[in-house]
Amino acid sequence: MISSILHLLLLLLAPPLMLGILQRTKALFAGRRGPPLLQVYYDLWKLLRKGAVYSRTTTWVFRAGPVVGLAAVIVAGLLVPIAGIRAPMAFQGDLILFAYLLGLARFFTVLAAMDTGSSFEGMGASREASFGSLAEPALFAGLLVLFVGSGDFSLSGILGPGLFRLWGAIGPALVLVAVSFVVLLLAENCRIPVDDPNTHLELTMIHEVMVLDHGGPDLAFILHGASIKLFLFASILVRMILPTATGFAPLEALIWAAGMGLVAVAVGCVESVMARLRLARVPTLLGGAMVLGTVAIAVLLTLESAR
Amino acid sequence: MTPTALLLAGILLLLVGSVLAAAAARARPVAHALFLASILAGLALAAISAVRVLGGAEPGAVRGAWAVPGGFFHLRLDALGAWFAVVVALVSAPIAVYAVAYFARAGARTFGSFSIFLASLLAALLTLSAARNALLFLAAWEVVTLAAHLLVTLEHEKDYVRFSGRLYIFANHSAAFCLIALIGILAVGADSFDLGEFGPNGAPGLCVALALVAFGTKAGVIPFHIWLPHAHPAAASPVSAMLSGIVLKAGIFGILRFLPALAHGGAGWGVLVLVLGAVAGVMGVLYALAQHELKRLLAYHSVENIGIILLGIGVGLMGAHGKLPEVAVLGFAGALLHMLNHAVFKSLLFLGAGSVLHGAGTGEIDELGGLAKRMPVTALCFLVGSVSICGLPPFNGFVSEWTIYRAMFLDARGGAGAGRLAGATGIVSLALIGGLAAACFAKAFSAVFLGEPRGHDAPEAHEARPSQRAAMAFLALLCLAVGLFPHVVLGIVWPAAVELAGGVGVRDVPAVGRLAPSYAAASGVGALFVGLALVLALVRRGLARGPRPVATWGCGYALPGPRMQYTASSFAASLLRIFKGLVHPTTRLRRAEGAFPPAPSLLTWTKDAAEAYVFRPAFVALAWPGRVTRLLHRVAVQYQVLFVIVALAALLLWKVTLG
Repeated sequence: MISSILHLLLLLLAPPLMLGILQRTKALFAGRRGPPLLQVYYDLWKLLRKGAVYSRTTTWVFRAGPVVGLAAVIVAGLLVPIAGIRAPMAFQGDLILFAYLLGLARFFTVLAAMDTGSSFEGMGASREASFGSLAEPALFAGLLVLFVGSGDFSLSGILGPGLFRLWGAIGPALVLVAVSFVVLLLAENCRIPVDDPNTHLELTMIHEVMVLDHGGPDLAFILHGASIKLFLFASILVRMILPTATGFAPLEALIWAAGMGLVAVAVGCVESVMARLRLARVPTLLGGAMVLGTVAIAVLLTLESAR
Repeated sequence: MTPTALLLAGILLLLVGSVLAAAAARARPVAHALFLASILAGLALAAISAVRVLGGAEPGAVRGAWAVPGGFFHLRLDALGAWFAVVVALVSAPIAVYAVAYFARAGARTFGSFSIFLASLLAALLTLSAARNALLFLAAWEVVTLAAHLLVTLEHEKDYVRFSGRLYIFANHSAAFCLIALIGILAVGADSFDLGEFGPNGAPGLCVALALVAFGTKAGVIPFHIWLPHAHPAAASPVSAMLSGIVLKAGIFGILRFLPALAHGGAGWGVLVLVLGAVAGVMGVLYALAQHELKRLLAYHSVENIGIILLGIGVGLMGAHGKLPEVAVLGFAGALLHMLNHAVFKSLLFLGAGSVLHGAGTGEIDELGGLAKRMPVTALCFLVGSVSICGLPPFNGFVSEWTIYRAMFLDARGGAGAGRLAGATGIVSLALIGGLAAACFAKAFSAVFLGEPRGHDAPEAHEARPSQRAAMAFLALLCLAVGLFPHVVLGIVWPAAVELAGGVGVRDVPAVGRLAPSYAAASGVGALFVGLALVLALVRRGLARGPRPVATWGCGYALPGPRMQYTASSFAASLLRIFKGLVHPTTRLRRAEGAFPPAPSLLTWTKDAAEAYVFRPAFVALAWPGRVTRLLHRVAVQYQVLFVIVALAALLLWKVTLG
């Protein structure tokens, strides 16, 4: 019970900090001091107190978008183990539900963008829908490798203490999956090289242009939802890369926190040293992630038959 | 009264009531009341008998002599048939309610014909569900085809409708030859026309091929789907809903009914069905993305969803072959669940499309827009259908796709050799199908219902009638109910799945209680999501002070207009460009060039590969001999008489010299 409450608090409160670290890293690279680490919290607080502005073109779908998006991401978060704490809800097949809840959030964000009738937001929505559907097979290929390796059918089981031994058994396949998850983390969370969250030209944006017409509390919901999504992907990735099994909960949490910080810094570094890919190149990148996932499956099957 | 007898009573009630309704068609209110009362009562009887069978009641049998050689009137509603009857009853009832309002303005003749054709279709489908004699099955099968053809060509004044109806009946009658051959081979092998006696025989490969053509054509499996994208848009919307929701499922039901006689074709049979399903799923959704007409788009999504059902059947067969009882029963349960779910959400979507067609006057997606304001109930119902068909929680599509995923995951882990690879292929394809379907329905829903109206008539669109809205709302609630209570539905479908698995030789099937906890947990997650979304909506409402209505931000452009919106075609363009190797979209662009430029225009369309490159050339080639013999018909009468005399003389000579 206490661990579930702790999990929920971490899930709701910690994510914006990751964005803060990420932005600070980028600022340091650019030679600036950068905003405070807690800047995203200040932004959320400011947005929540603002009034709302709605286009006359929009309907209730536009208002449902941020609500459904945030609710779906939070519920998805309840299936993911965080900081070595078992997820509050873990059952057979929850990893599929996790992927589809994120799909639900994306579907409604796209609809809300299309509801404004703006061609810019239409562009963003079209790109998000396209790239999102290409990312899905890569995610499932990775999940399949983890499932077949561990034999457990829930995220908490797969990412549990058994992961350490799994590296010894099917390490090469896991390396491939980890790399494809890095690509997915960047693509699904609209980071460079797929999308540039700080760009100034609407024509080249994906996620930012979709939420152009959202303001006030709606934008706060979207911003928080995006930070939670990044947090969840990072949590899974950290657990995959640092599969410690010390059995001592505070140490596990500490290792996890360090890993999360590292991922935030690493994403910040990637964003600072890389340019955004041309939009026509993004499918190749996502296709690459898919191929990595498929090769991982092949490697896994070969390793298992060799044993 | 045994369930089977009750089913037969329902069938008779349907038929008698609809004939009376047709006879009274001129007195409109009487006809409508008679039609609705008999259809709903008949379907209710069928549903009650089916639920009793699924609940474990002894089905009983109805036997009677039938003056057909080898034929015997033998009905017995087993669990599989009961599940099919549940699907038919649950989905046809709201369609019938919707149809009464749909045909309210049509002439008495149209309504009378519709009443009889629909009742014959339903009666044939329900007979099919319980038929135990192969010839009775075949007769019911043919009545389904004929009744569906008559329903499609209800508005036969239009050329396109007649063409589509012809295509439908040609395709399905050609397939029926394969079914006749299949039944012949199996009956000779079993020395009986009893379906229960049919078993494996000497020519498993031939039987599987015949079954795939016979049932695949009815179900719309690629490449035998070519009648589907023509018949669905041409038919009246309630008829499209029946076709896509129920009649396609008859093909799937046929495969499942004959499974015990076919499944002994070895492991290859499961892999074949799975790969066929993956191809049908991916190609169906890609073709759907390329469509510009709402009902045609929905028709291609039927191809996709039949593919998903085949994935379930395929993995079930692989589980049966690999001695994995859990995989087998989960695969079959997923396929059966998707049969129900697709019937519910696809008929909902077709009814919604019918309301759009009726209310806004066109189904061209790029001329619609902003209908959510004029047709709020239709929009909400269509949205529920869209979310369901994409397999997103907390609606019904997720439940069946989840079940099929689980079977494939378990197969990829525990199966043997090629089975594992096939399971992995199925998972990756289903993930791709899910993503693409979400993109396609984001396109369809947003272009039709959101934004500003693009065409001329969309601003004057009107909402559907109250009874039509009620029918759509019922189906939408059904989508949500199945999504929120998957453990209950799993318990209902389980006996049918166990029976199927038993038919292909799977023993030691796990009890439903072993899987129910995870389904209950998924139901909890769904309920939690709904609750959280409601709470967040309330929080947001409390936070937002005085929402201020403004114009959409045009990034500084002062005069944005509805024609500047992203259209459905532009929305799908980026995905189609990525998959252009598979779907070949064709573009004809006329630029405004020169001193006196013509009006610029851009046309895009997509050829269906199976139609354009396989069936059309094949039938054109077949038509050649016909063209030669037709020359004989053109000559004058005396020459034709001469031909007859010469032929007679030749025969006489032959008989004399050789006999």
